[in-house]
Amino acid sequence: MNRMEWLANLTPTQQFVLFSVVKIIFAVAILMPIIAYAVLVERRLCAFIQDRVGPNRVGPFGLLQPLADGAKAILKEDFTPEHVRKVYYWLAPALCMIPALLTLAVIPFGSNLGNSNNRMVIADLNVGILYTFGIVSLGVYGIVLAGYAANSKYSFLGGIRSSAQMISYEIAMGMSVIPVFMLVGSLNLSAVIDYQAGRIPDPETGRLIQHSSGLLSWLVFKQPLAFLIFLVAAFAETNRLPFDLPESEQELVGGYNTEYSSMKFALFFMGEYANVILSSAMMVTLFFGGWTLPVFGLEQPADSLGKGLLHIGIFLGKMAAFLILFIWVRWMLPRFRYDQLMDLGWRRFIPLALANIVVTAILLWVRA
Amino acid sequence: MDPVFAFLALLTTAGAVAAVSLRNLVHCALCLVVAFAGLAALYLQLNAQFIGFAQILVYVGAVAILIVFAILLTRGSEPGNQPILSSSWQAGLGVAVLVLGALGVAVASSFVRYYPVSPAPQPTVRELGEQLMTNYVLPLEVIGLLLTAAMIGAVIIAMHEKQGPR
Amino acid sequence: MDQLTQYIPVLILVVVAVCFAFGMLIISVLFGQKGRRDQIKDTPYECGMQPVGEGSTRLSVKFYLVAMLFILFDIEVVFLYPWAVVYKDMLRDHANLIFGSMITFLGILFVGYIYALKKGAFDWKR
Repeated sequence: MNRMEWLANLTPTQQFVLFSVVKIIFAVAILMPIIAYAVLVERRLCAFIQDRVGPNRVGPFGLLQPLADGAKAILKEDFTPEHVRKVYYWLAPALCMIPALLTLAVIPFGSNLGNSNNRMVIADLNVGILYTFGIVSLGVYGIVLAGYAANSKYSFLGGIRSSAQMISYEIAMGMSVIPVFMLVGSLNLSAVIDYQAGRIPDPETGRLIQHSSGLLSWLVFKQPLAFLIFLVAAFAETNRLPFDLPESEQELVGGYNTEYSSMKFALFFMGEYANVILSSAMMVTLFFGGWTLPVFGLEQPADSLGKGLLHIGIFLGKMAAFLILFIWVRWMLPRFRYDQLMDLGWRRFIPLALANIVVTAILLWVRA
Repeated sequence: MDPVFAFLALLTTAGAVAAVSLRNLVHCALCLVVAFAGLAALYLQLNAQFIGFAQILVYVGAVAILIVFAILLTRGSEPGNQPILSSSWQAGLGVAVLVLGALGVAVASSFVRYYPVSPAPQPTVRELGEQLMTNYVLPLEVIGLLLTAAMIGAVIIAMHEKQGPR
Repeated sequence: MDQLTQYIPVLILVVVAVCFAFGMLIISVLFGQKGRRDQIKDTPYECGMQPVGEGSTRLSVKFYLVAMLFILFDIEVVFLYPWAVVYKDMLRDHANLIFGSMITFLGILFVGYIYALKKGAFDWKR
């Protein structure tokens, strides 16, 4: 009882800050094991596809493998070669990891817990999607600086290639989601989820009105082309196969991380997996209804603690499905050539995304 | 003065000063990024969320990247031997002081000073969009023309070598 | 809620992310093996060959062009967002205006895009 009084005595702002800190710590604490186990799933799945066994020695079914990997990354020699540019060499892995974590802020990963004030989103910004793209565009720095800092030919080529690839697909990505926001009428990501659950604001009063909803009100069914462009652009943004040109082993050894060792090397990989996970989360939010499910009243915000936890579970489940897709594709498709990659981004996707915007505009006009 | 504003202003100014005074061009570019990011934070502090993130998206995420690319492309990142100050820095300083003085006098004698300060608006993206589509349609189209001109210019400059014999 | 208060969690997240990233780097320095340095270990990795020339080679001007075009399209996309948000609402009263103005804007930019396309700016085979 004492503790609750202490909590109630705080000002609303202090309570808000306190809850934010708790949410952030929990969100990061959940994200980290997901990153670690994504690596294990990747290795096991790859082994399965290639008819091998994969890591199965550490713990039952190899379940403790991520711990072993982490310990190994920490205990290996942390070597800084003589020829590198020291400051940037140290800065680059951190700059890869930080934007990946920051994207977490605007993603609604659940409805609420306990009471309706505890929204399960770290910062419910009105310009949510702009925040996401702004932060994503910062990810280029880590890679370009890694390439520059290493002062080695493979790293340099990998870094430049990667950054050119990322900025090319950022355009396609940014354009592909415009039709989504034309339908929703807000840049807030919670509003996108409300729209997909049938809660559409009334034009006059701005109050949310419940319309009938179902699986078909998910935006993936209303904007399939937008989703397709976003999906492919997400693969390119995260440097995953079939677009892993920056680290194409046969040409560039390891790309921008060639000269790195121990934890610095691991940070690049954690950054990559964090990006994969968070772009999965973005796709779930933008196109697959976020934490909602159109059955058993699960499209409504939670009114009990259990339902709130269930919403978070639904979100994580959908996200895991995308994660598996990312991994599966990696071991199924061959790598693109660099000219094919640029061709796809600039000459196919940009006109396609523009056409999608114009067609959506015309359709909305006809319907109005 | 608001401590948040003071900190951001100091950060932005320091970034800008470092960007023009450092020797290594890559350091300069990254200091410019700090200055851009500081500006974006200042916009956010003024409750201009859209402009703040547009600043990050366009300046930090695109313009500064172009500058970094240009530096890496030309291999000009190693420090040169010229002194930081040009030989005519006294004249430059004089002109700068004169301009600052003229601006100061103009501001001080302006009638705008006697207007009451209007409360800061809290613009939403929605209001911005409405304004952009009604009162500011013409500027928008002019921006479109400007961007197209820039695009054509960039292509002409960069693709120039392709036309000549190799 | 005050708009600025919304950014407190973002700021906290920035602090957490920075601490995490640099914390990891520091942990690896503290607990990592300390190995010997020798000349071979200090040379850039080039598959066992002796490195020739500088680490940073000159690059195709195409990369610069891509960055330049990226800025222009980025600005275009930034203008599209406020338009997309108000599009549905403004259709009721100013349908011609809102559709026409953005189509014109996109059309003007598309001319530039076609020009770049025809000039081979996106053709990486050459």
